[in-house]
Formats: sequence, structure tokens, C-alpha cells
Amino acid sequence: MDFSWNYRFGIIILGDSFVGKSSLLQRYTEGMFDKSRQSPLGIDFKVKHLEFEPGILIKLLLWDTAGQERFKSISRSYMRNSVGCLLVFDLTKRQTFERLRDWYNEVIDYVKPSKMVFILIGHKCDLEEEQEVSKEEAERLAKELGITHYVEASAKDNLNVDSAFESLTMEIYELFHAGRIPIREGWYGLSVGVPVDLYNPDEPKTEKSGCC
Amino acid sequence: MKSESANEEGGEGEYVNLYSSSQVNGELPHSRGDPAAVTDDALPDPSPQKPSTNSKENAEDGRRQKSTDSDHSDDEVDELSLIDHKEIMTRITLKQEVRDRVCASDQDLSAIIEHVEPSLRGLEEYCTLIDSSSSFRAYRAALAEVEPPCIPYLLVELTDDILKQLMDLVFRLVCSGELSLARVLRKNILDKIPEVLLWAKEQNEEKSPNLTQFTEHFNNMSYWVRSIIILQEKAQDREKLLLKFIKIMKYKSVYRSYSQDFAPHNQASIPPFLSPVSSHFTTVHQSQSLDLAAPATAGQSAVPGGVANGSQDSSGGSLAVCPPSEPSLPDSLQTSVDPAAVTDDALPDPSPQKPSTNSKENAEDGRRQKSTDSDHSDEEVDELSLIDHKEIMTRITLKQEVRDRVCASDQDLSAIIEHVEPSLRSDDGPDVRAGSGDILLVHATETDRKVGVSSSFYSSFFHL
Repeated sequence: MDFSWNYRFGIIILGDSFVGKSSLLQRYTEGMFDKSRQSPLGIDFKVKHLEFEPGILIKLLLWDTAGQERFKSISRSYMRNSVGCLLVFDLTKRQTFERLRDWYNEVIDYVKPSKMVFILIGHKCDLEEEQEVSKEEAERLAKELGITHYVEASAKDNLNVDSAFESLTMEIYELFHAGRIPIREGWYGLSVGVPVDLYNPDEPKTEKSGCC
Repeated sequence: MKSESANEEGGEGEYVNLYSSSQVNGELPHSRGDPAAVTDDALPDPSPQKPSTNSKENAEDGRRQKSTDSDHSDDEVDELSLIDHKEIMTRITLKQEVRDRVCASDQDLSAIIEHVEPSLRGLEEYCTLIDSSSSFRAYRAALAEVEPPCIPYLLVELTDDILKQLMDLVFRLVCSGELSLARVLRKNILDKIPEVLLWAKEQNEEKSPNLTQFTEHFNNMSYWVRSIIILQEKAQDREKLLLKFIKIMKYKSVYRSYSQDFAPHNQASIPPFLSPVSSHFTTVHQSQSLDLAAPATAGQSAVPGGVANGSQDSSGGSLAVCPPSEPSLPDSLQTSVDPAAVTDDALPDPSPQKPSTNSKENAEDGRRQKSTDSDHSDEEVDELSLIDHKEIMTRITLKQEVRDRVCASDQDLSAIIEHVEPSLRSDDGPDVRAGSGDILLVHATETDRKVGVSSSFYSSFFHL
């Protein structure tokens, strides 16, 4: 098999319905925002390649889940083979914030004993006046749950979207290199592709992996 | 100028406007010029406040009535063969003369219905409905419930072709400025759009009944598997069941046959390897070469009528999940199945390239073998009849105690899945074949393709 990436991270996006998970992903991967964006049926995914250090190409498998309860059993089965998780809530809907703890616990329970790296995202920060959750509150929760980053983002105004994904990727990368993310057999949350030292960034073959 | 524009509207939309013009046709004189009556017609006359237009039409109507004797027009309608797609398409000429003929009276309309409806169910019911109420809306509603679904105005089954032509027509209407007509027509077409797509737009269970049923069944199946495992008192029994399910899933993954597991029972044909005759897996594998020779048959025999759209879906679905880079199915099977080895473990191991996994599994299996007589466990599970929908439903007890246990079973489940997934997962890219998550996707994809609309699901499959 022709690997052109050095690492592959599985990343799942979770959160209640209509908090904007799909919009976030669409903004990140396609650079656009569609107001009438439709809700996914069960699960959807996108691929993104990141080269945040020269010569190190990371392939992100981004799983976009449906927040509805009825699709829970589907989205759950994708938690397991992810290493990173974007926990998204809607800044303008307090209840989506209050459900975060449940989401977190569910994921942790479910992926045991694998490691899952979280990032907390308060979405729709463009709607400043309707905000029902303060930044301090969200940061407090993040701290309590041991989540390193909290980001207020907006897919509509393209605020902090890229940086949210990138800081999560960076954190995973660093944790992996610190030996904090063990790779187990049969677990595909984080895979190592081409060894970094053999990889030559000037070769054009890197472009291949985008589609098949 | 006014009347001319009304004529134009009539032109393009006339076959849609069928009933509404007939209502102005003297059959219901009291409704003439009554705005309420006009709004009652599903088709909004774009100029209801223009009685002058109506009166002019009436004059025309009079002429029409003269030229079309009712008996004569009956014959004519018969000749039109309204359910023949080609016929209809050739007849939608939208010329003046055709429009005149289409502007039929109530009698003509019921003649049409009588002609067409024998192929539909509940003929009398609808006729009385129409006769009694004389309401176009009721008529339309009745037709909308008919199986297979019809566009009320056209009385034909909605095929891809017709759908496309209709959308073209809408487009033309929009281009020529007939916005309200276009809107009405479009709305009526959209009502018939595949429910999987509708679900994405608005989560409405009534509008997506099949999808809802499918999802429900999927979830129930999932609950049932959990329940049935957790309900065993002894750890050994739980282990047995676990292994059994894993075996089944492996087998399914080899054949890429997912949909039939999850189709409601009454629509699913019995998969060959779970037929009531073969109460044991090994029996199946004695005739394995036969099974392997025709992996496609397994797919084709699955789900006549499908969950949503028929057998094409399930077989096509299996194909769609196959990533292009994947080695073809029969090859991988032939290399992986060693008949001698299979008799020992009834399942062909789909991951022959991973000896390390196997060795680890073997060690585990050894332990299990000690505690569980394999024959015994196989039979037990077979008795459960995994595809019997009723059976499953009765077993989903969902009592509090069970549910509590089920919640506790997450670990068990992840054990199952961990066990299963290595063999299902391809080396690169997201796991498009493995298990539960993809089934809905496949269905979405297939239905999308049917209409010629590609959604993000579809494209994302080939995005890897």
C-alpha cells in the first residue's frame, strides 16, 4: 500500500443536534458556510491533510456525527477508532452546554482503555448578544474535565475554526511523541504511515492520497 | 393583456391545472369568481382577484363544451393511456388544442380516475371521496396516499425520467417568469422526493416513514444484541453469545451483506447461511464452494422490496461500499478460505494478512474452547433466529433491569467490536465496510443515486 502520510488521526465531532458540527467541518474542509446546511444521516466524513511541520504530513479523518439520539448507536461505533474529539456546544443554547459532561463521560467510558484527546468548542460565537454561556464558565468546565483547549468559534464568520482543528491535531501529535498515546493492535485512532525520515516532502507523490 | 397572461399560464401549467379550470367550467357555477373557491384549488390561480379573466375564460369554456361531447371525450381520455410514461411525455405538448381537450369536466376527470385507479388500491374509496366532496384538495390528498405514490396531477408513478422532466419544466416556468406556477409544481414534486434526502432537510418522521422504520429497527437490533448478551447469568454464556455474534458479523463482512440483517423481517429473504434448514454453521460450510461461487447472488437475493427502494438497493449498496482500491471480493475469499481450516472454525477469516492478530486470537480461542463447547453454543444462537423480526421485537424487553444491565454492557460491546473490527477494517482510510455505521450511509447513497442527486455521503465515499 502506498502511504504518503506520516500519521493518520481519527477525529470525531460530537455534540447535541444543531450546534453546528457539520458547519464547522464544512468550513474547515471546504472553506465555506452554507446556511441551509442539512443534517447528516447517521455519519459523514471528510479527509484533510495537514502539514504543520515541514516534512510531516498528517492525514485527518474527520467524522461528522448526527447529534440525534436515534443515531447514537452509529456515532458511538466511530468513537472507538478516533484519537481526537471535538466537543461542540452552542453558545446560544445553554442546554447544549450542560449536556457536555454527559457526552464527555460517554466517550470516556466507551473508548476505554484508549486515549481520547478532547477540545471544547463553543460554537456560533458570532451571535454575541444571544450568548448564554460565558467564556469563564466554559473554561472552568474544560479545566474540570481535563481538556486543554477551549475555543470560541464561528463557522459562519470563520472565526477560530482552523485553529481549533489545528490545536487539537498539535496536541495529539505532541502527546503521541511524549509517549502518552500508546498504539495498540486493532485500534485505528492513530496510525503511523511513512516513517518521517524516509519521507521526502519534495516528491510529488504526496498529492496522491487525497482521493481514490 | 391580462387575459393573455392568464392564457400563458394555462399553457404551460394546464395539465397541472386540470381540475381547477374544470371547476370554473360551469359544473360548479357557485364557485365562479369566488376567491375562496379559488384558494381551495390546490393550484392558486395567480390572479384570483381578476374576475374579468374568469369571465373571459368562461366564454372559452363554453366553446370547449360544445366541441367536446362528454362521451366522446371519455373515449379520448381512454386513448391517452395515462399511465404510460412515453405516451404522457409525448402528449405534454402544451399546445393550445391539447389544452382545450385537457380542460375536461368533472365527469371526464372521474373517467380518468376510473381508468387509472384499478392499478391503485382503494378505488371505490377514492371515487366516493372525490364525488362527495368535489374538492380537488381531497382528491389530491387521496392520490398522494396511493401506493405507489403518484403525482396527483399526473396520475403516474414518479420515475427518474419523469422527475427530471418535471424539474426541467419547473426550470422553464421559472425562466419564463411563471413563478407561482413553478413554485406550486416544484412543491408538489418535492413532496415526492426520496425520504432519505428529506430527512436531511427536516427531521420529520411522517415524511420519512421508511427511514424511520429502518433506523428504529437498526437500533432495536442493536439493543437486542446487547440485551441478549447481558441477560445471560453466567459469564461463559455471555462469552458464547459474544463469539457467536462476532462470527456472524465476520461472515457478513465477507459477503458484504449488511442490509438483510437490518431489513424488517417481512421484506427480507432468508440469507442462505442462516436458513432454518441449516441449524449449524458447519453445515453451511460444507457447501461453501457453492456459496463462494456466487457471492453476488447473496446480495441479489437480499431484501426484495428493500427497506426503501428495492433489491437493487441492497445489492448495489454492497457494491457501493466497496472501495475502488479494494481487491475484488472473490479473490480475497479464495485466498483466505482454506476448506480444511474452515471445518475447524466455521468462519473464513477475512484477515489472512494479519497473522499476528490471529495468533493472539488463537490463544484467546483456546481459553474459550475450554469453557464452551463450540457445537453447543452455535446451536443455541441459531435457535434465536436472528432475522426473525417478531422474535427480535419480543426479545427486546427493555425493562428497567435489563436496561440497567445493558448500560453496564458498554464494555462488553466494545469488546465485541474490538474483536470484530480488525478484520473488517481496511488498511487505509475510513472504514467504509465495517459494521453498523455504514449501513445507513449505503442506503442514503443508493437512494440518492436513484434520483440522480449526489449528496455529500456519496461523494465522500470516493473521497479517500
